[in-house]
Amino acid sequence: MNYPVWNFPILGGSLVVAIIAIIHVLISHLAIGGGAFLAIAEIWSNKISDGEKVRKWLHKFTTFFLVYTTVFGAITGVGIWFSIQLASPEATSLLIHQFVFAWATEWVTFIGELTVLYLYYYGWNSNSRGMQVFLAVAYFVIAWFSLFIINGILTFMLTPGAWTLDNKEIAWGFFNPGYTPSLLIRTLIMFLLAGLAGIMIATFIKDDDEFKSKMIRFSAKWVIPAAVLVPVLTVWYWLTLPESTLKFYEAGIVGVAGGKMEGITRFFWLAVISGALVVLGTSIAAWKPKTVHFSTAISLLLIAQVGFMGAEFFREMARKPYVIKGVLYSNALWAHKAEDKAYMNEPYLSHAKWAPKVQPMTLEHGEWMFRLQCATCHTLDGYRSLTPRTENWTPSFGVRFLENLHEQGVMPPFQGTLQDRAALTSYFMHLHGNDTSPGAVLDTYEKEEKAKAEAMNASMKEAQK
Amino acid sequence: MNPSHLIAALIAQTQAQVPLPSPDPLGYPVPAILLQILSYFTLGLHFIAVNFTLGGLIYLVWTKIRKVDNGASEFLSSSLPLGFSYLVTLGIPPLLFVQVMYGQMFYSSSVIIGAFWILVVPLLILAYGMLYLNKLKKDTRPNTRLVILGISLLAMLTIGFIYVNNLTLSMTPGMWMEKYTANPAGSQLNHGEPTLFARYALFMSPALVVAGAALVLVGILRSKWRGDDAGVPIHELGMKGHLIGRVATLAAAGALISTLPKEFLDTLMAGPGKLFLIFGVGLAALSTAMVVVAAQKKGTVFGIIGIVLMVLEVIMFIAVRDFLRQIYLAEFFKFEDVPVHEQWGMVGIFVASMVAGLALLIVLTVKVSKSAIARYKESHAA
Repeated sequence: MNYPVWNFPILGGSLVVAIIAIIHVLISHLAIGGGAFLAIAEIWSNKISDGEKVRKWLHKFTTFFLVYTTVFGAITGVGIWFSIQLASPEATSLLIHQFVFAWATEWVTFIGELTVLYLYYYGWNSNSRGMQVFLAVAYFVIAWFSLFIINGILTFMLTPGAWTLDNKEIAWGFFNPGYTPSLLIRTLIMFLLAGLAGIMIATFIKDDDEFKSKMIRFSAKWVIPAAVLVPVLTVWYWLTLPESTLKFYEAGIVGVAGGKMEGITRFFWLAVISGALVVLGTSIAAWKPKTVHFSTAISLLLIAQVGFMGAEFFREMARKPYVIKGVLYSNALWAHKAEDKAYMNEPYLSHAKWAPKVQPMTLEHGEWMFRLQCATCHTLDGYRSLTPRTENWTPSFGVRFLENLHEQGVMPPFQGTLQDRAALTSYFMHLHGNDTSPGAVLDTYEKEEKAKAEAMNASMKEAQK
Repeated sequence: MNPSHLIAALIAQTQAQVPLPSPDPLGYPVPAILLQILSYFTLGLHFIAVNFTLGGLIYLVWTKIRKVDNGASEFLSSSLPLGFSYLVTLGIPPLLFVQVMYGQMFYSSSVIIGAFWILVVPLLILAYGMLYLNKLKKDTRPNTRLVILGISLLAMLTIGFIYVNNLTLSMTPGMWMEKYTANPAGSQLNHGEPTLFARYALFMSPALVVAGAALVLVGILRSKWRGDDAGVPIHELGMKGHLIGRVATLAAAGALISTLPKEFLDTLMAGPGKLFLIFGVGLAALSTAMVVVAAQKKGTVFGIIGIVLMVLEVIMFIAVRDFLRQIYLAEFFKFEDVPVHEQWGMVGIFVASMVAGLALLIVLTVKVSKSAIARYKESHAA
């Protein structure tokens, strides 16, 4: 335990990350696909008779695009950094140290896309048409390169491939097994989102139903590539997933205190169904464009947002119990250290840097076990809350459950001694008004174990007779 | 807490439990000196953008309160959203490099004030969004506009304060354990840090200096392009603000020196920090002289030189700030303790993309600006 754990109540660090990331992912994808949309629409407007009308409409689209992507997109992007360093400083540190110059290169693309977008927007009335088309194309190309880079880091976390802590081979980690299908899926989704944004801006066209229909149909076409190809690419992506992820998905996992960990399955289907609804809704919009209102268009974008929520939660859950698959557990335990039995069986608080000096086998001992070992992912009463999950714990159940924690498949192994497990069990029982002390928990557990062993011995003797 | 108490506290802390995280197992991707240079350079650009935007906002609020319509507010309303987007984007590389160099300290302090640190995100959206609202809503009543700008200003000032809290806390590991165990949710600031308010003042006061210099240049250009004296009130406002900002910065620097532990100050002055400090002060004086000459002679070139010198000045002071940080952390951490696993290939890709990207952006900006200036001249000639 190298870093302090942020014990943010109710939400917990991981949900804070999720909220910011889910908002950001939709906007950032739109920020790239929108560039292609601008470029194609610029070229198209040069070829048709009512091109000036299209350009006027395009100015509205760009105003929305500029404000939405730079205010909400850029800041939530920075927000992801702020939140991941609070929720998982160890993992963030690893990613930063491995990929700092990839990120720095991505920053060059940020400066590039921002500047080009401003030149395009602020030069609207003074740039030549050729320059506007060039700027729109340049914006898209530069912005797509930002995806090219960040995709390597994102997919690395789930499928680090041949990269290891020892070889530190950046190319192996970056161009990992999940890289290409993920890049293609994201590229198609970007076009889809640009189309949805186009439909939304088209609903502002008043008193010109023909033009409104034309722009809605133009925008709806941007959904087609994703509708056709994303299902195929998802199969490819699926094939790159770790075996353990597929097992979680297929079987579901029995979670803490008897609950079912079916989230990964649920979120996958949420993404699939949302995607299908978006395609269906867009098809109807293209069929009856005059009837499309702002509320319809915003609903389509919201459904897409829900789809992103499903996909992002799936991606996060697919890594469980790791934050970087096979390398670092969600609670900052290094996978190689987890194989060191002597380390794992040491009194936990003795090597936990951020634990205060507490009296062993006290409630405080249990509380700090929770704070440092569980609170990265769990809260007491909010997100992934442990209070209801431990409601029926008895001394022996708790101690045994913690001993076999890793067998859940989605939980890291427990670090610490029998006393640590007793203290944590006592702390959880205390949350339900049961004031069994850690010592009493330990006594009960040991008595039961002893009784069990005696019963087993007796039955063996009986069998021998 | 006075400085001598701080020293006593620091000594006591080194003997007590200091939960300093180990450096990342991957080590540094390049020697620390290169990370420092990149960090100073990019942080310099970030600070200039921060100062321009914050200072510009202060001038804008001032013109709205005084109901002065001298052309400055039109320029500022339109350019502040741009300034904000660059301050955010230029903030990315220094944030990257500080995490590489001082990650153990930076992550720890961020978690300790976590609730405030995450508050920076909505505050940024609020500050930025309000600037766009001010720009795009043309028919807003003056008082409403003042409220919009006031919210943005308040949000920016709060963000600055949270940053200063985090960065001062990251330099004093001895303070961490007590704060963390008392409040693991992170809903606390770095109370008790003797340099906190002086540093904050020193962080904020250059805003008037930088934005003032920018207004001087804008005023001169406006008069030049329109062929009249329309820019004079703008550059006069900028000049006044620039000089007031310089006085405020000097006062803040004095306050910081008086609150810094004497031993730390002595160590700083005994090392290369002294040289950078002298260069910084010299560049500041030269830069202000250039801005004054530009304002009097209406000389664009002097204005540009003044701003370039200001960027260099900021970089010098950033280096001094970093040397001071190393002195604070000397008990706990040295760059030499961290192994280097070089990634020269990635550095090459970064440098190549930056050179190509900057070249493209410069060519495009010049082209687009030329046609925009021509159009501006045409419309005002008409």
